[in-house]
Formats: sequence, C-alpha cells, structure tokens
Amino acid sequence: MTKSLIFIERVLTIIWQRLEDTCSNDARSLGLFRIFWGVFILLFIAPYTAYVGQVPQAFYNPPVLSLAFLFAGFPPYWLILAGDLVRIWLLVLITVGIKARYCTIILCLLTFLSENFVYSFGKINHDALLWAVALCLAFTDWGVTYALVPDRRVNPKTATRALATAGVLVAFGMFTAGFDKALHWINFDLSTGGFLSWFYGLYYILDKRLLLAPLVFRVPPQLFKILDYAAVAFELSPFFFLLAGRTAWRAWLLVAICFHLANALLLNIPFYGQVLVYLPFVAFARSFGRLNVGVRATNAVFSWRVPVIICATILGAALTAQRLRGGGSQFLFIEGSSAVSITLYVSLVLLALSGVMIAIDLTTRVYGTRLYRDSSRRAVPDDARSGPDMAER
Amino acid sequence: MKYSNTLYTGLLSTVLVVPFAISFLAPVLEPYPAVLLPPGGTRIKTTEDQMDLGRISIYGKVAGRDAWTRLSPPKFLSPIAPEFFSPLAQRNFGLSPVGPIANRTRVGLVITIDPRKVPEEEVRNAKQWFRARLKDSGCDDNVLRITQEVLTFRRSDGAQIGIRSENDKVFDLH
Repeated sequence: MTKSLIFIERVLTIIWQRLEDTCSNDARSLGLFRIFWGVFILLFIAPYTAYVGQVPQAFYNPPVLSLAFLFAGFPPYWLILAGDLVRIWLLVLITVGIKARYCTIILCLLTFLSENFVYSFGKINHDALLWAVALCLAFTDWGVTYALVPDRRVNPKTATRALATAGVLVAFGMFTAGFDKALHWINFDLSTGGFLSWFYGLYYILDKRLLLAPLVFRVPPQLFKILDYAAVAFELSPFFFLLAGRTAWRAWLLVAICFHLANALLLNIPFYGQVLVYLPFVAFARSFGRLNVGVRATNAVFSWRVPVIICATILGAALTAQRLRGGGSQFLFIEGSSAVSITLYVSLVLLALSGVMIAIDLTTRVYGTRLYRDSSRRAVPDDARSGPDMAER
Repeated sequence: MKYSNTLYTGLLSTVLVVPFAISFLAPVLEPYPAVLLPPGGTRIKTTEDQMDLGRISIYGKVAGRDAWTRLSPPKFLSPIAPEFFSPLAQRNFGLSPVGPIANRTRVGLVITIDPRKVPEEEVRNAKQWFRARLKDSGCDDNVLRITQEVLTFRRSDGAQIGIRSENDKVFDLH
C-alpha cells in the first residue's frame, strides 16, 4: 500500500512538474494580463444580472443541484442590482490593482451566485470555466506588478501550481465538451451530421443567420463530417498538448481561437469570453511590455497608472450610471436585441486580436528555441539554466 | 506534506469529475457551478434534401387583423438571452401548469422532476409582462400562442418549405 502510494506520488510529481513548466508565466505578464482581463470584462462581459429581478417569477426554474434551488424565486431587483454594482467596482479595483487577490476571490464567488439566478430560466450557460480560472489566478502574482496596492507575493511553488491548475481546468473543460460528441459523432455514417444538428437548430429556432451561416447550405453535408471529427479531436486533445510542453500548449491555444472563430462565423456563437482563459498563458511582458521594468513596475510612478485608473474608473462609473437608470447590458453598454448581432461582429475582432497575441508569443518562443539550438551547436552552455528545457520554456 | 501531490490531484479530480459524471449520466441534474463546457453530441439525418426540424415558436396576433406573426425570440425576450427561450417555452413560460417530467438517464434510471408550481399571482404578473411585450411588438396584447411545430426546409438552399403545427396552446392574457 505504502509502496503504491509512493509510486503514485512520484508519478504525479513528475506530471505536475511538467504541467507547471508548461503553464508558468512571469509576474509582469500576469500583471499586464490582469489589466487586460479587467478592462475586457468591464467592456464585454460586464456584470448585468439585475434584469432577473424584473422578469416574472413564473419563469423561475433553477437547476436542481445549485444554490438557487434553495430559493423560492428570483431575488428582489434592488438586491441583485446591488450585487451587480459591487461586482463592477470589484472589477475596477482588480484592474487598477488594489488588493487584487481578495477582490478576485470575492468577485468570483459573487458571480457564481448571481449567475446561478440567471441560469434559473431552465438552462445553464457554460461560463463557470472563466471564473474558475480567475480563481486560480488569484493565487498567482497577478496582483503584484502594475498594481496600485500590490498583493503580497505568493510562494513561487503556489503560483506555478495555481497556473498549472488553470491549465488543467481549461483542458478538462474542453474534454467535457468533446467526450459526449465523441460518443455520437465519431462513426463512419456519412448520412448523419453533428455540426449540422447544431447549425439547423440555431439557424431556424434562434434565427442565427448572420456572417457565413447562409453559405453552409451550399456545402455538401458529407463534408461537414470532417468538421465533426476535427471538433472532437480538438476538444479531446488539450491534455496531450498540456503535457507536451510550452510550445505545444500555445499552439493548441491558437487552434482554440481558430475553433471559436469558426463557430462565430458559421454557427453565430460568440464564445469570446474564452479568450480570458487562454491568454493567462501568454508572455505579454516579453511581447508587449518593457523588458527591464523589473520590480520598479510595482513602486515607481509609471505611465501605465494614469490611463488605467482613468479608463477603469470611467468604465465603472458609466456602468453604474447605466444600471442605476434601470438599464444595463453585458456588452459595450448596448441595450436591446441589437446587442446580439453587434456582439457577434465584435467577437470576431476580439478573437482575431487574441489569436494574434498568442501567435506572437508562439512565434517568439519558436524563434527563441531555434536561436538557442543554433547557439548550442556552436558552444556548450556554461549555465545550467540555459539548458534545452529553458529554451523550450 | 508526504503525499501532497496525490492529495491535491485527488481533491481536484473529485471537484472536476463528480459534476461531470453527474451531468453526463443525468443531464437534468447538471450541477452549478461546475467546470463544464457545452456537450451537444446530437446528430441529424442529412441524406434527404427535404428535412424536418422540430421547434417551439411563439406567435402574436397582428393588431387589427386575424393573422398570427412569429415573434423572434431574441427580440421578444431581450434582455433575457435567446438561449433561454427553448427551456422557458417548454414550460409555457409558467403560464400553465406542466406535469412531472420524466428524464431517462444513461444508466437506465428514470428521474422524474416535478416542476415548480407557479402561484396564481405569479401567473397574473407573467401575463401582464407578456401583454406589455406584445404591445411593443405591434401585436394584439390579448393572446399569445405557443406552438410545437415541425419546420420543413430544403437542405440545398435553406428555403423554408412549410411549417406543420403539432401542438398549439393559445393563452388568454386577461
């Protein structure tokens, strides 16, 4: 028994070490990502659940295994509005970096609670991954750099484990999507279509007929079988790429962005919130930040502060004003049904930009690895840290 | 700690796998929150050029005329997201009682869920909400029709060939 446990512990130590190597990111990149994350959410996924306090209680049908099941109906408007406002200002605090760790944890828990009432219309939208990854990021150093009131640095082991856990969550989430599809879509029966079963439902029931959706009818249905196989392979593969190393994982993230772009174009599903679960693994500091900012980024008055504080505060104030007027929207302050189509178009831009960010990181990494290999052919490295594993990083 | 990785992996696996197993075996019991992404492993026959698709639609009566018009779910329900339309319509938006729903799990068990009983006052409020929405849509605010229908379309060009109503429910909103 003890021997088996020791063996399991050894194997898991190797696996977690590998996952930590794949997912680790520097504090400056995480700090930059935190600002991006906050502004992105304030602009495109802003807290707006207050409307459930204004719809008829007759619509209330909570998931059986959820906290909302313990309630008799939607909470009163003022209470859920207060929850939205608290979440908006927590986002502002996270963006400017005031005790980001505590704010992130409270924000995520409040969001799980608020969204639970939105999902009490009888369907759960699958966005818990976004907040679960944010919870993991709270245990990294994302609130340490580019922060007005920085968090205390966490133990490096804790930070790398938290990011590795975020990677596992992303991979597992994708796996859950692919598993059921694999059971039904992977066959040689060309007379049935999986992608098309999604497409026709969205096209004729929810009127999702924008972008490339009308072109789907011109393509022979048998060709979409390729998409069925590709979707299943993509969704079941992230654990493999996660274990394969940093470059492979980032390559998978790039494919993931392309996958969501294809979904937006053909199925009109704007799953743009997913970019926030892919980008924590991108080295922003290397590609977009100044290389030698170092510790000064935390303390000195840098140019990032003024625009970030102004931008976050204006967004927070504008969202607050909109909600206090009785309105609200998750996406770019746009109210009404027009938000549905605008969300779709803007999501293409957001996904494309995220794809570019991941591609830059990937290219820099591949180029760096090549440079290392070239130089190591010429000379033996004199520093243990500059070994092949470092190049792979 | 001696077996820290084993403990951490066990804990993480439990947190992830248990909700997944529940939602996979009995989708009706899907827990929230849980790290799950949309499964949707459904299939559709694609051999015939003429295809049928079941859907639920809502119709309003065009004001001043004896004709029904289909109401677009995203426009009619806003700010409620369009993806909530089908589950709401399946329960008749709470306007009339729906009997216990039997859900067959993947392991053969049948889980019967008794929908929440909607009190009369809530039904009245819902009717008032629909009246306001119908008026905004340019429809007669007295009636709402919820229809289970089969839409027939041509796969080669997407043209709608016909709509066959299978179950009509007309709700008097007064």
